[in-house]
Amino acid sequence: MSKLPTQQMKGRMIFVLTAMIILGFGTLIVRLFYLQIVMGEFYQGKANRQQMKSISISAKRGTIFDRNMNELAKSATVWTVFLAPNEINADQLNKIADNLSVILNIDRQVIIDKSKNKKSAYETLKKKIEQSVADEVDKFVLDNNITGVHKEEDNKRYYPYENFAATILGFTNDDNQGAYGIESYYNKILSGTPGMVVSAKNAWGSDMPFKYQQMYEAKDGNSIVLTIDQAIQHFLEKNLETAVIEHGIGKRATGIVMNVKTGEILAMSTKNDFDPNEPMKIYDPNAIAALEELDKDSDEYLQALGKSQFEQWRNKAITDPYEPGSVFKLITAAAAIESKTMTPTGVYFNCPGYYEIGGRRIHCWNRSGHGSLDFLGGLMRSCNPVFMMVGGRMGPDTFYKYFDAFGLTEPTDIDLPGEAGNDGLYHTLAALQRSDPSVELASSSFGQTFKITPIQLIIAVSATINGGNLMQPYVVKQVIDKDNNVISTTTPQVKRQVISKESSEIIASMAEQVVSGVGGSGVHSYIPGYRIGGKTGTSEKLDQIEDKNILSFYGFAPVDDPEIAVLVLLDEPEYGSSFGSVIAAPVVGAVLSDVLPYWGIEPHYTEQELEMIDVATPDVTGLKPHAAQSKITASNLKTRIIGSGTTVLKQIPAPQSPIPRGGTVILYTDEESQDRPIQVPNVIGLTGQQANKTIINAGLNIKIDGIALEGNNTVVKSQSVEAGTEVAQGTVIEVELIIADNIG
Amino acid sequence: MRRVKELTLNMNYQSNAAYDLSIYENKNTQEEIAEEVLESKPYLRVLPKKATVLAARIAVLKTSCALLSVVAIMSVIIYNRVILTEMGAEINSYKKMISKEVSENTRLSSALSSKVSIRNIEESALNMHLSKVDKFQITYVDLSEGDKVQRTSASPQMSLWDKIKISFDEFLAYIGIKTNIN
Repeated sequence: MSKLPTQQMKGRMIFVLTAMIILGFGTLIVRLFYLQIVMGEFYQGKANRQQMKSISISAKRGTIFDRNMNELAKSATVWTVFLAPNEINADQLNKIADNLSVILNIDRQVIIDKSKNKKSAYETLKKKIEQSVADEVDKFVLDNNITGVHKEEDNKRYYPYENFAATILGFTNDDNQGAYGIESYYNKILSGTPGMVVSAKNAWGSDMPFKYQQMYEAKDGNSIVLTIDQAIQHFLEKNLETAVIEHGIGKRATGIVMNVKTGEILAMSTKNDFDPNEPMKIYDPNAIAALEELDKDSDEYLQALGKSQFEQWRNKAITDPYEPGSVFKLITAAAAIESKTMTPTGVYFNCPGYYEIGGRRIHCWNRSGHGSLDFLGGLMRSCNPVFMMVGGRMGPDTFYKYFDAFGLTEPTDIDLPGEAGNDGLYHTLAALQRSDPSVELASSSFGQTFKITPIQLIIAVSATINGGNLMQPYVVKQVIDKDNNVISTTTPQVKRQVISKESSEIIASMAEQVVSGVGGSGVHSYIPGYRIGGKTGTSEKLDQIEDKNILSFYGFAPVDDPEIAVLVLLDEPEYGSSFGSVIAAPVVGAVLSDVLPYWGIEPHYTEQELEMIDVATPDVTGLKPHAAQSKITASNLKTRIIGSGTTVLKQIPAPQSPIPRGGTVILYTDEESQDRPIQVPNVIGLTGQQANKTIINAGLNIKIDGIALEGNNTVVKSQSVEAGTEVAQGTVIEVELIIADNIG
Repeated sequence: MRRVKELTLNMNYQSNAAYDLSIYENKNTQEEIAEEVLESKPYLRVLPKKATVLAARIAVLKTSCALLSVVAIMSVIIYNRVILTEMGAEINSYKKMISKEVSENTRLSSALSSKVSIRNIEESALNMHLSKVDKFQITYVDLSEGDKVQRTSASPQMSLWDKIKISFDEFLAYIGIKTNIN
């Protein structure tokens, strides 16, 4: 009998199988629905995180160029070395600490301490290390099979010329974001936009760029071309540094060089400053000394450190309002000329050394008085009473109208961060009108009792001599992309014309007389061959208890077509004269004597100036004495023959050395005579004429440096060879003359 | 056809151990004999057999080719992925190398710029006792000859008053009161 399943059995079997299939697949379908639909987004994200790898592409920060495309700031890749304490093998800890402390130049104990946090996977050891050091770290790790020491990429900003233009450039912080100066003001343009690459990764964690790759390109930062000229900036910095050291400037010195036709800032500096490569370090010797006296762990130290850092970063040219002093007289003069209140000549004032107004006696810097002066004479000698009287004649309305028109009631909006402006630091029209006669108007007329920033002053004063145009100052000339395509260009902008071209020409010629006229206060900035105009300034710090001054000088050239203007401020000089005419004017003269030939402005000497130029001493060694004499006389020089020989063996000055016209060349004809040196006399403090006579009589040649011998009450400030030094006869002694009277 | 039927029958009854006795039956009719003769012609029996074998072989070949193709394509795809991965790693490596060299170049050029700054050049020049060109080393030539007016024959005729004025000016110049203007 067959044992085949019955129909009933078959039916039951089919039912069970169907039920199992439905149950099994149903569970799977339900689970699948749950995973794919209900939790789909969650698991998709989780899978992406596991399978996909995203790499941030840092945008390269743009470069900062000077106007001639010299790189002043640029970025490069550096490394951050960090510990992963959770990966460190305890046996290797000492080896890691010993070696990395040497390679990274950090304290060994710091490494030990950081490695103790075993839960951490990231403890920074040192940031921004360069490739050579990173290579050493790699070698140590590989050679010793070290675990738990890693490095990651970072960027570092390089400032190749160290403290060059530091207060303009500023610096970046640890996150490569601009923290100060141009770096801060133009941070958005310079920093660019970071990008990202998202791609699948393989089992070893490396990229599989062919699969699921999505790239968001980083947009590199644009670069910036400054109006700053590297050479002019150097000339300004060099002379400011010399002035800071020579005169013991207590509160830093600042200077601005600008193109008066365009408003471009060609140089701007404040000394002492800092190195943007290490901005946190203190560079001012006085500040360092003060900090050394404090306990490094105290709050007082930290406060003092912060204050010193902030102090050295500040761009004094735009952040520190000050009383402009007599430089402001050019503004008053321009207002008086333009409003027809005054003419340069024709009206005379009397200066007894003071001016009484509103029951107060305000002194001139020259307390003995200037006597009778016209307006031009008042400007040349920087007479305060003359300007108080002129201010009174103008009246408060006219004075304030021009004060405002010259932009002295608002910031200049220069493209640098931290411009202070002078809100609340000047007399309003109502304040000037409050009393009649107005003491405020009188003091304001010669630049005291109100404050403006150096950038406001140079822009305003330049408007008095450039045809009357108040220019918008700027330091960024162009923005360019990484391929040097121009993105934007700044064009010169005239804010308004304040005075007429004719009035401006009058002011320029009056300012020229300040420098080259007899008795002018700016004579120390005179440069032979150039038509220089300018104005001295000695500002009293009226808001301070101590008697402190700021010495300044504004100079420009050429007078007939002004292009370059220089303003220099020396805040609280310790040594030397306390007048801007003596200390600040020579600094501006030195800057202009460097800048003008560089800028392509050729000197044009007058006949008188040509006569003052030294000549090259002819070479007469080896000639017979008479032939030598004849050759030297042909060069308009004198000779003195010493010795009884028949041939010129030696000559003083040496061949091709400079000798003043009409100087004496000493010709030695035997060996014995050469061994008779003479002592250099002391001429410091003598008048120019006395010094000339003393040096010539001693058998030496004199070369005058600074100002001319005649026409001024001059005294010798310094001599090139110290008194008492033994030199050969005929040696040229350079003496520097200054005006005996100090002029404000 | 009959032969086929017989074989089929044979097979059908095999399991029941049945016997096909028909083969032992006499061939009675002419038609049956003719049919048998006809059925025994070679082409009727061989052709279907050969086609089946060939078709089977072709099928095997096709399957093998398809399999091989699949394997080959898979191998190529896998190989490509391997190569791409390796090349990706290589590109990354070169990119890192370029970045490293560019950074090193920036660092070194920065150091070089620092060494050849205007300040350092000036200091070095001073140490070598070099100096800037001084005014005394330059010969200045005055090319201006003053303003001159040349009177030609075509000049307008002077009036008597002009002649008197010029004569008077020349006299003043002669005695040194006024500079003569040519």
